[in-house]
Amino acid sequence: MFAKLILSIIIITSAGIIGYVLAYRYVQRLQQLKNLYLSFQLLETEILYSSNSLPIALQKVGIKSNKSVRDFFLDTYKILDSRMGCSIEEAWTKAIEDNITGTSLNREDKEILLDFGNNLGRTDKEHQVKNFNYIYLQLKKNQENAEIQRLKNEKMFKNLGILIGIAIVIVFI
Amino acid sequence: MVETKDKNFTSRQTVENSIKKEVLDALPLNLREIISRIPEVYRSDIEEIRLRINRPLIIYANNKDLRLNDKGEIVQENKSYIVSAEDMAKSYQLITDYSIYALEDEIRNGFITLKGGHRVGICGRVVLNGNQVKTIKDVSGLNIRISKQKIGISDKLMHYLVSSSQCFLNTLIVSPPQCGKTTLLRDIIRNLSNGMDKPKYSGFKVGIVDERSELAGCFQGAPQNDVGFRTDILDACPKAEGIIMLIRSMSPQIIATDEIGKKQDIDAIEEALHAGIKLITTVHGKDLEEVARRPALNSLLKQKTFERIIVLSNQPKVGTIHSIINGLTHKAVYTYPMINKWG
Repeated sequence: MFAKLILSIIIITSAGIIGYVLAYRYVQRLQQLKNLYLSFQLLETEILYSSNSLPIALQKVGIKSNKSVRDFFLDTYKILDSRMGCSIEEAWTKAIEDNITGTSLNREDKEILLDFGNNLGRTDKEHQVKNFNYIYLQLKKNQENAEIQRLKNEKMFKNLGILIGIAIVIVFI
Repeated sequence: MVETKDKNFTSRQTVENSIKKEVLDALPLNLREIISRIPEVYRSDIEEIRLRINRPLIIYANNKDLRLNDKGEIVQENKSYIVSAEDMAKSYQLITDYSIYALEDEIRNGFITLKGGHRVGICGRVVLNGNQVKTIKDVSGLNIRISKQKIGISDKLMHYLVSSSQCFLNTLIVSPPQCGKTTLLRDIIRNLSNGMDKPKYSGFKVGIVDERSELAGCFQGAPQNDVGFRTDILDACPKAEGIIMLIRSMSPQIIATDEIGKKQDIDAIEEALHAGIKLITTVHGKDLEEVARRPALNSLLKQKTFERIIVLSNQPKVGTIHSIINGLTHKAVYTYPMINKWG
């Protein structure tokens, strides 16, 4: 009887934890989108007002950025700075592909990031501004989506985890 | 001076036989591979690397166009490597250090200076803003001009240019394009600025107005070529304004500029001469007669402004000094053959 009780508690807590982890992804995604927004603002300042060259600008932004999104910028910087003849898109795409799995960003977010890389550094200031404004808009939109999904799913996953745990206990034990 | 000679000797041996890293860094990997495999005979003589979209990759060396195949061998017409649109786009990104937005002014003037003073000319579709060039897009042609510093080429000339009373004589270098006038001017500036033991003179304060960033090859403010330690550089400054600015602010003894020709330049030069400043400059032209046909310059020649006129030619070799003429008497003080040993 005692063993059964302990087993049930273990099952319910682990199911609960899984639920929390799944729910936490939604909170994290929102937070990471906000961090990205801030990083892009930094990058814009580096490019438009300081007129730093792109590798230097990326390095500076990477150092100042939140840990969760830092590697997008730092990895691109490393690839460009190695002077191995990569283009900006190639370097940026590689940095995104390599690092996005470590974040809670989803496919939509990845697409807007990759899109941004296609125009980064390749045009004059006027067009760079447009590119930045565009990604701000996109990030805002995705933030709103992320917020809606968080409201919808955060509670659901948390409750679902515990409920499934209880269901397993009732059915099997 | 013994010390400098030694330094020159080693730098010539080691530096000129390899293609400079800064130039290779500006090319995508596949082109880097091709260029670095060029036969050694040509390597030190490369003057230009020309990329034209969908057309053969061409190296200009020793007054000749050389076509290369994808292994870096010199080949005939139909086998040469064709520069792709992707090569071009990548090269452009590398040349601008991925930062076209930071080089708007340079692009507007049609060229970018790489680290090391190498100049890259840009061709493409020009975007206008009113009457002014705003930027160049869809880049279709790049010309990487490899800057060559030939330290010591003017050593033997200096006693023609400095009088026995340690006074510099106003000098004009006349040369057709691609004969090494900028290279010669740069080395004369270096010698004037540093001073020499033979002929004996202490250095002069030299001011350079480097309109096309070719003489000193400034990269982010620092001169990439040795132009002497008493030399001030106004980088990317229009000649006429620059000359006046230097007179006002830097009290130079000698002003050096490259390629004069416009009316405003001549006015500024006259201003400098009135201020008691000596002058060294260059002009495009085959010989003195051809230069004299240009009205603006003719007046300067008539006034006997230039006491020494150096005429360059590329026969038999780039950088040959054809003659040195006394500008006052119009008599040659030295005539060919005095081949300037290069490389």
